[in-house]
Amino acid sequence: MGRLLLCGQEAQIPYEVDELDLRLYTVEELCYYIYHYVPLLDDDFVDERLVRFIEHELDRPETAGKIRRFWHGPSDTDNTLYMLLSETGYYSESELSFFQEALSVRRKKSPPERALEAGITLMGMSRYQGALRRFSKLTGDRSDGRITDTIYIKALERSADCYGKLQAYDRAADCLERLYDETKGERVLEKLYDVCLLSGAEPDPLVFRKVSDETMKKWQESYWQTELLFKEEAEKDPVCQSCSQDPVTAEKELHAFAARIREESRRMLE
Amino acid sequence: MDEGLVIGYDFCKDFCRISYLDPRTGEPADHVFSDEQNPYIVQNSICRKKGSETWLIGEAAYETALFGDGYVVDKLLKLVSMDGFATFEGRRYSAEDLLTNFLRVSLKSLFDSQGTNRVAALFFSVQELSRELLDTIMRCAKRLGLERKRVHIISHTESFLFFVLSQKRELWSNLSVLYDLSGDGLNYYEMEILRGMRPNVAYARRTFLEEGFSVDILENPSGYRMADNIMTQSVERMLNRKLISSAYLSGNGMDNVQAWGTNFLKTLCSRRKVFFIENLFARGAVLAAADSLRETSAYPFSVMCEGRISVDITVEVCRNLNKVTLPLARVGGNWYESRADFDIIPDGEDTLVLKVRKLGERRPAEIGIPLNDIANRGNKKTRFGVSLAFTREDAFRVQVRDKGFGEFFPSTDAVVEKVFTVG
Repeated sequence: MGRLLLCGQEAQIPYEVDELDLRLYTVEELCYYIYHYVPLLDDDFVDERLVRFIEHELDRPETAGKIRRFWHGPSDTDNTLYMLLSETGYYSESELSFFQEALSVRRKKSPPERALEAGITLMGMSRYQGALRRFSKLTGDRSDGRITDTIYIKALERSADCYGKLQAYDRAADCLERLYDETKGERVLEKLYDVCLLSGAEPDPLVFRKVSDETMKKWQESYWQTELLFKEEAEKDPVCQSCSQDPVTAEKELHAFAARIREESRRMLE
Repeated sequence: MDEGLVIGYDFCKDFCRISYLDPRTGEPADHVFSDEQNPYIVQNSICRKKGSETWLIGEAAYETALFGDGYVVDKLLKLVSMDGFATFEGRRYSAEDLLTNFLRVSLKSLFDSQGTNRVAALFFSVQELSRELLDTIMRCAKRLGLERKRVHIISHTESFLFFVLSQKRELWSNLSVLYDLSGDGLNYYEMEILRGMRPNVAYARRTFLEEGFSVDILENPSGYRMADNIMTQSVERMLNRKLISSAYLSGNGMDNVQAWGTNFLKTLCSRRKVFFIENLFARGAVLAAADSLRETSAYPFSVMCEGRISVDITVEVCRNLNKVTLPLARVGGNWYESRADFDIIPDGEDTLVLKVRKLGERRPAEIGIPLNDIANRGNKKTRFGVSLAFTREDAFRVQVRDKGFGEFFPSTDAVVEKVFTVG
C-alpha cells in the first residue's frame, strides 16, 4: 500500500553544499542528500547553518529545537541525522535501518579512511577539486599515525588520477613520482610515462632508467592506441564537429580548445 | 475586529446600493447617495466630463451628458459581460476601466460621509456569479488598492440568507421567503434550516419567476392590476401549505407595492409577518462581511446557497509520520475562493486519489489521477504540485505538475489538467 507524502515548505534561500555545487530547497531534498551521500557527511555537518536553515527556511522550528537539544558534539552527529530523517517521514523504517547501518559502518572507519572514501565518492561524481581537497589531508603530513601506507598510496594514486582529469599533468607527475618512491611498481611508471607524453614533456631518463627499451616501446604503442581511441571519440563530440573542416586548422582549433580547458583547470587549482 | 468600514455593496443590473455597519448600533445602515427621490440607490451609469478625467455617476452622469458636458455609459454589468468598451475623445476605456471608476466614485461617496477610507471588509452582492464578472470585480478592487483578503463576492441568495439569520430566531424557525422585484426581474427566494446534519445547514435558493414583469408596467392602473394578479397567483402557488416564519419584499419594483399590490399583500400577509426591506441585499452583504471578521461565526451553520459548493473534497496524505486527511474544499465554501495548492511525493503510489463527498451522502466518490503519466523517474524522486480550483459552484479543475526533485532531478514542467463536475 503506497502513500502520498505531503511536502514541506520550499526554501527561499537554499542550503548550499559547496563541495557538490548543489543547492537544497526542501526537507525532502535534505533527507535525500543525507541518505545518499553518507561518505560526505563530516562530523561538522550538523552546525548552526544547518539548524538555522531547518528552522527558518524550512519552517520547522520544532525539529531545529530538537537538534539543538540533542546535538552536543561530533559524537552526536549520527544520532542527530537519524533523528532528522525519521522525523520527516520521508524514509520508511526499513530504509532508516539501512541508513543506520551505513552510518555504523562508516563510524567504524578511522578519519583517514573516511576521508579517502569521501574523496573517492567525489571522484565518482567528477568533483575532482573536492576529491583533491580530501586527499590532500592524507598525502601531506604523515605524522598522523592513522594514515596507513595503504591509505597514503591510494590517496596518492587517486590524486594523480584527479590531476590527470583536470589536465594538470605536472602535478599528476609529482604524485606519481611520490607513488613510485613508495611502491616501486612498474604500473606507476607506465602511468608516469603516459602523463609525460600527454603533457609533451620528455620522460626523465633517470626516472625510467630501470625500464627496458622493449617495455618503453610497448608503453608507447599502448599510449598511441589509446590516443587514437580518444581522438575518434572526440571527433564525435559536437565541439569537435563544429570545428573547421580543414584538418590543419581543425587541429589548431582542437589544440586551442584543449589548451583553454587546461588553463581553466589550472586556474581552478590555484 | 479589524479597524475600518464594513461594507455591503449590492450591484444590480440597473442600480447599486451600499450599506455599512454602523459602529454605534452594530447594525447595517444605508448609505445616502443623493437627495433624489430615492436617496439610497445610484444608477449604474458613469459619465466622463469633456476635456478632463472627472467622473460622475448616477443621475449626475445623465444630467452632465444631457447638457452636453460629458459622455455617459450605462448598464455597466452588461458591458462587463460583453467585455465591451467605450471611446471618449479618442481614448478607449474598457468595461473594467469604467467599472473601476464607477466603484471609485461610489465608494468615495461613502468614505466622505463616514470620514474614513479604511476598509475592514467589502462584500459585493450580485445576482449572477459568473466567472467573468467575479474576475473583473476583483481586478477593479485591486486597482482601487483594496486588499484581496478584504474583498469578497457573494450572491443575492447568500445576502438574503445572512440577512434572515441576523433576525430574531422566531423569524426563521420555519421557512423565510423573499420576493425581489427589480430590473433583474422577479425572483423568489427561500431560506430554511436543515436540521439533522452536523452542523445544521442554513439553506437558501433562488427561483427566477418566468411570470415576472418589468417594473415599467407599474406606471398605470392597468399595469397595477396585472402586477397584482401575477403576484397574488405566485403567492398562492409558491407558498401554498408552507409554514412561513417571515416574508420579505425588496427591490425598487416593491417601492410602492401598497399602491399596486392590494390583493397580493392581503394574500401574503395572511397570518404571516411581512417586511419591506429595500436594501436587503446590501444589508445582508454587510452582515456577511461583519461575520467574516469574527474569529468564530455568529451563525453556527453550514451555509448552502448559490455560490457555495455542495461537496467536501479531501485527499489522504502522510505529513511527517502521520496519516492525515487533507481538506481541499468544504461544503458551504465560496466556490470562487475555494482552492487548494499543495505538493506531494508519491511513495509506492502511482495515483492521486481525491475523495468527493456530496452534502447529505455518507460515502464519498473517489477520483483518481494517474501520476506516472506525468513523470516517472523512480520512487520518491518526483515532487508533484497539485492545484485545485472551482470554475463554478458545481465544477472544479485539478492541475498536477511535475516539479522534479530539486537539483537532483530537474522538472520537466509536464502538466495534466482535468475538470470534474459535481453530479
